[in-house]
Amino acid sequence: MNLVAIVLTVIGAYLALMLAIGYWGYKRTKATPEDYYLGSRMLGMLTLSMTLIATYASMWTFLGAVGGNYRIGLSFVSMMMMWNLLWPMMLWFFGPRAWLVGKKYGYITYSELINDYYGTRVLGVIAAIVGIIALVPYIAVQLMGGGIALEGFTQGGIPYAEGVLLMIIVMVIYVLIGGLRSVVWTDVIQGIFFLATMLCLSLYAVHLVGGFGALFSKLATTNPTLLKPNNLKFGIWIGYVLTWGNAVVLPHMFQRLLMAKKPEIIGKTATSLSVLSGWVQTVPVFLLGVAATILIPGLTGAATDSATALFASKYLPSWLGATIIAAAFAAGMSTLDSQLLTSSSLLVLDLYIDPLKKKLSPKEETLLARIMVLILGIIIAIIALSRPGLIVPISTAGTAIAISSYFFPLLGALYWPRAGKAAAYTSMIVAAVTAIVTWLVFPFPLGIYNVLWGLILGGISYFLVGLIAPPPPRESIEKFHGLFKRL
Amino acid sequence: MRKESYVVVLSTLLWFIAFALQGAGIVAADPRIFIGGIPLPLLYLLIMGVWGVINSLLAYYLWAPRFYKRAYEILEERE
Repeated sequence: MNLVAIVLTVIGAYLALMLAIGYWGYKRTKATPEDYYLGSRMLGMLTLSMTLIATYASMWTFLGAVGGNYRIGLSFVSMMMMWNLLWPMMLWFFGPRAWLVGKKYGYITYSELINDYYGTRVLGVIAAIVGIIALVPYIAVQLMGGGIALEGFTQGGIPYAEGVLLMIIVMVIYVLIGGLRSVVWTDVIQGIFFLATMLCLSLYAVHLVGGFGALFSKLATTNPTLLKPNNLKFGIWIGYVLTWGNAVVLPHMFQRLLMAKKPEIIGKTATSLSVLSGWVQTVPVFLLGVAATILIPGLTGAATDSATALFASKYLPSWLGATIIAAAFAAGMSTLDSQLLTSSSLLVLDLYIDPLKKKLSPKEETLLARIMVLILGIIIAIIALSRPGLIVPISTAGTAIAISSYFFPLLGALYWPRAGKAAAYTSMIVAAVTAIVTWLVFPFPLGIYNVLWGLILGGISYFLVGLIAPPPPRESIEKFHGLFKRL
Repeated sequence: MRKESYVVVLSTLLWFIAFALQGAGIVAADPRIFIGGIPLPLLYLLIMGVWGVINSLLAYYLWAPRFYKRAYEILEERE
């Protein structure tokens, strides 16, 4: 059997499993938006932890992060470990309060929560637009990663476009029919598969080098800069940390905070994620990246993103290499399916039903959600086929825009009753514009990453306007902060 | 803020600062120093990793139990 046939067989089997789970989810999904988008808020610790980490860890972790460790070494992994430990702490910070008001008042999206708190409909519309704009490059990255991985591993045997189409078609089918139940259970499978594969792959790479001691002593003699913790400029380093460390405010991550069955689930999930994300996801990526500098030397620039695929094709039998590629697909799909479903909720609930005050039955809303998944899938596939640039800058910059603009309105709703809707509007717009300007017009002023600029100016504007302008409606303060005072 | 919350917040802030100091190259930056066969920057990183998990455990054991109890009380009020 030739290489292309082996890859197609392994990936075909994997994708068939995803479709089977999608069908299983379809049989259990009720025709209500709460069930389709949130699984009726019935997730336990295993499902919530795995869907969070599978959604968080993307194709970039498999390709871009290994490439980053290959090029930059310890400085890169210290940044990764910090954000991978920071976001579970932010889950502690935002999660319990968001879950409580979500459960009590029935919110499905970020926009619904802040609209209700600040007493406006327009704020949620802006948030939804920002969410859609920010998710698009991020989603495209996952598809690009799938295409690049497949094309690289088969040395052009499976063209980029076919890899992209294969991934999006299967995913749209299972998200469309099964909603969150399909997404969550495919995430559980994909997450375990991805983490276990990366762990085995990294340990094998270390073994090939001669063990941990040999790896570190070889690095210290041949390439000691890979063991320095400050290869990256600090402004960039801390900017990335704050971008990904605050990823829980992103629309698709935030929605997961509302899905826990019981309050204990939030706490257990945050704690388990500090191990899963901080260690299980991070350390193997570092080990594989730096071991690859010895095993497959000479890669530079964007070529380092192919380190995983090149390592697999050089050191593993074809069928096992194909499994690695399937794991890369798993990492990408588990992020993309969640983003696809959340994007549908932003369009249907936040940009159509809520602002236009449409009265639809739960069945009609769910049908509309499914149609939107299909339309979005087609649009995203078209964008990915046009192949925009390098992986890391695209996904991180897009995410930065959403994180910096979403952060302070949520912070106020959950922790600071003084700031009203004027502060929320100002902060959201200032942060988004700043994140864009410091990315495209004046890239990274003073060597500081754009999310930090967005957060700084968004935060200053939120607190200043919050002190001057009227606070939220009295009933909103009582509805939210009245509860929180009793915790 | 309750006393338990201060412990969690303080530990997390100190962890953040300690980790950022390494990212800035101020502490544990010399890759030539090995301790127990592990380069010092990597050893420091691993310690930061353990500390990060401890922060979550502190939240779980010190802060969370009261939240669970109060959350149930608040949610039961609806019925």
